[in-house]
Amino acid sequence: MSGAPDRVLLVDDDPAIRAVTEATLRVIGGFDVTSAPGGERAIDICREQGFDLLLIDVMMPHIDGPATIRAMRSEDLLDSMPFVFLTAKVDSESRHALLSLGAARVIAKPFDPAELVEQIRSVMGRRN
Amino acid sequence: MLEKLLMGMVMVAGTSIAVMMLRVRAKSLGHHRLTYLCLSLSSFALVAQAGIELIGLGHESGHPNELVHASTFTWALTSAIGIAFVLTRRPASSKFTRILDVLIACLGVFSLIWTMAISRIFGTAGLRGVDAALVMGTCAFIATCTGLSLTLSRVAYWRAPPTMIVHIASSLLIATAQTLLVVHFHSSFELSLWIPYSGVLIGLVLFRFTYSRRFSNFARHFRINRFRESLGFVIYLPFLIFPVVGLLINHDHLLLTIRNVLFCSLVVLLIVRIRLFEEVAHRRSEVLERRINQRTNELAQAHTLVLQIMDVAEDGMIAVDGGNQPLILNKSARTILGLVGSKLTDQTIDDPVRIDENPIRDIFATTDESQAIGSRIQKEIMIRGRPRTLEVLVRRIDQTTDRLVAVFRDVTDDLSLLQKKSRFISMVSHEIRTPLTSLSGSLSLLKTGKFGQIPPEAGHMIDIAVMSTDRLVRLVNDVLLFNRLDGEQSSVNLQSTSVESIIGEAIDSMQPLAHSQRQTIEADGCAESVFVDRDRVHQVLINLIQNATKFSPSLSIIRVSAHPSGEFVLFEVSDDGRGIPEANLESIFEPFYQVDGSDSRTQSGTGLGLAICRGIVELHGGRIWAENRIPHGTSVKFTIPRDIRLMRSSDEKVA
Repeated sequence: MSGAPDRVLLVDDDPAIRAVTEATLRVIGGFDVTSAPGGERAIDICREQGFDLLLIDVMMPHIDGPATIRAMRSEDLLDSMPFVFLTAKVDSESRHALLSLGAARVIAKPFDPAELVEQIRSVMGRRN
Repeated sequence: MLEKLLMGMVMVAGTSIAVMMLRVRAKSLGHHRLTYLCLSLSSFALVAQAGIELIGLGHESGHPNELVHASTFTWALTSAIGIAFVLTRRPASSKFTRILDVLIACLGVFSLIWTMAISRIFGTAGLRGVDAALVMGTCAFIATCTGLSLTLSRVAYWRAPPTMIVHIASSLLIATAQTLLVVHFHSSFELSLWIPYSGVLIGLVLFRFTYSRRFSNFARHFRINRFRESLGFVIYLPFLIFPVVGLLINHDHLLLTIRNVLFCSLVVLLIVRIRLFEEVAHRRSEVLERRINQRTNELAQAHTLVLQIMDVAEDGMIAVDGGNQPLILNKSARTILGLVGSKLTDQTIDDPVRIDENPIRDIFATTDESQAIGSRIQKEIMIRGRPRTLEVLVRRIDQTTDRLVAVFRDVTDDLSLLQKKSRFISMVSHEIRTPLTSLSGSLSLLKTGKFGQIPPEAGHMIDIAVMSTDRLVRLVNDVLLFNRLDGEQSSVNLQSTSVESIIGEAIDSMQPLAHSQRQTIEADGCAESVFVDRDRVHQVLINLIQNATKFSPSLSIIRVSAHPSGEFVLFEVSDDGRGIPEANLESIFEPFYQVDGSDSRTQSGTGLGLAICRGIVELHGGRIWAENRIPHGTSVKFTIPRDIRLMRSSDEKVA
C-alpha cells in the first residue's frame, strides 16, 4: 500500500494553473497526478480508473465544478473518492455553498504550494 | 252693508298680508323681538279696526268715531316703529343712511301723531273718509315698499316667485281696498289710487325681466347696464303721486295741508332711502366682485408660481388627497411616471383629473404605515410596462387631513450602474486571480529548489517576486472585500455570538504574526453577547491587530479589549507604536490612504484594511475612530450595537 503513490485527479480549465498545480502536487507532495481540462473529460477518466482524491476548479466553461460533482455523484463515482474544490471565489457564502455539496475542503486561489499539499494530505488522512 | 263687508274684508286681508310679509322679512334678516312685536301689534290693530268697522261700531252718523281713530292710530304707530326698526337695524349701513333712517322714522311717527291731532281738533266731522284712506294708504305703502326695498337688492328674492306673487297680490288688494274706500266717500279720487299700484306691477315685471339672461345679452349689446338701477327708481315714483293728489285735493285747511306735506316728504325720503339702500348694496356687491376677481387672479398667479417652482425640481413631486386622487404634480413627476401627453398634463388645481394610473397608486401604496411614511424607501414600480426602481419619500401634508405628498426619483439607472460596477470589479478580481495563482505557484515551486539549485542573487529576486505576488493577492482580496461592502451585495449574516469568543478567535489567528515580531497580544474581553455578522467583525479585529503589529516595535504589547457602552459594545485595539499625526486621524480610514509614503512597512499593506473596517462597522450601524495614546501609541476604537435589530427599529421611531 505504501509503495504506490496516492492518485489525484486534477480538473482545471486554465492550462497554466493546471501545470503549476500538477507540478506542486508531484514535486512537493509526491502524488501520482492525472489532470483534465474540463468536467466531461474528468467524468470519462473517472469511469475508467479510480483516484484517491479529486481536486476540482469551480468556474469552468461547459460544465462547472459543482455540476461535474453532481454528475459524478449520480454515477456513484464519488463513493470512495473525497473531493476538494479549488476556487477564486473567497467569500464565505460561496464557500459554504461548496462545502454543502460535500467537499472535504475548499481551497482559495491563489494558494501556497506547501499549504495545498498539506491540506490534501490531511484529507487523505495521511502524513509524511 | 254688503259693500261695507266686502270692503272691510279686502282691506284687512291685503294689509295683513303686507304686514305679515314684513314680519317674515324681519325674521329672516335677524331683527330682534321688538321689531317683531311692533309688526305683530300693527296687524292685530288692523284686524281689530276691521272688526269695529264691520260690526258698525266704527261710525257715528257717517263719520269714523273714537274707536276707529284709536285702532288706526295704534296700527299706524306700531307699523311705523316696526318699519323704523327694520330700516335702522340693517347691518353695516353708513352714517348718512342711519341719520336718514332715523329721520324717516321720526317723520313717520310725527305725521301720524299730526293726523291724529287734527282729527281730534276737527272732531268727527273733520276727518273725512278720504283722510282715513290717505293715512291707511300711506302706511300700507310704507309697509309694502320697505318690504320691497329689503328684498329688491337680493337676487335670490326674485328667484322665489311665490314670495313675489304674494307681494304683488298684497299691493293690489290694498289698492282695491283704498279705491273702494275712496269711492265710498269721494268718487273723484279713484283713478289716482290705481296709478301707483299699476306702476308697481309693471315695474316689478320689468324688474324681473332685467335678471333674465336675455336681458343681460340685450343690455350688453346696447350698453345699458344702468337700466336696472333706473328702473328700480321708476318703480317708486308713482307712489309720490298719491300724497301729491291728496295734497291737491285737501287745500281747504292749513293743518290738513301741513299733514299732506309731511306725508309727501316722508314718501320722498323713503324713496331716497330705498335708492340709497340699493346703491349701497350694489356698490358692495361690485366691490365684492372686484375683490373676488383680484383674489382669484392672485391665487391663479400663486398657483402658477408654485407649479413653475415645482417644475424646476429634478425630483418628481406629487400630492394626492385621501383617495389617491392627484391634486398637483410637477413636470419631473410626469416624466418619471411616463405621463407626458396623457390627460394628467392638465395643471389646474381646482379640476384634478381622476386617474387610475398604476404608478401613482403604487407610489403611495404602503405595506406598513410607519415604515413607508416619512422615510426614504426604494420601490419597484411598473411604468409603461417596465419595472423601475424609484426612491420615494412620502409625507403627510398636514396632520389634519389625509393628503399626502411624495418626492421621488428614478434610481433604476443609478442602481444598475452600481451593480454593473460592482460586478465588473468582482469579475476583474477573479480574472486577476487566475494568472496570479499560476504565478505565485510557479514562484513558490522555484523557491523550493526542487527544479535545481538557484544562485543566491536569483533567489533574492524570486523572494521579491513572491512577496510582490503575495501583496497583489492581498490587494485583490481586499478589493473584493471592499467592493462587497458597497451596494447590493452588502447582505449581513447576523448571528448571536459572545464578544469574548470573537476577540479570542481573532487573537488566535494573529498570534503567529505577533510571535514572529516578538510582540504580545493581551485580551480583555467582556461577557456581553452581540447580534452581529460574526465573520465581518472578526475581519475588523484581524485588520486592526495586523495594523497594530505592523506599526509597533518588537517586544511591545498590543491590547485588545471590549466594554459595554449603552446600547453598544466598545472595542479597542491599542499599540505602543509611534502614533498617527493628529491631522491624519480621520483620513486613515479612506481607501488607499497612507500616512507616510516613505515608510517601508506600509508597503506591505493594501491600503484598504481600515477602509474595510469602517465599511463593516458602519454596516452594523456603529462608528470607528482612532486616537493617539499618551505618551505614545495609537488606539483604534469602534462601536457595534448589541442588537442591530433594536437599533434599526429605534432609528425608525426617531425618524
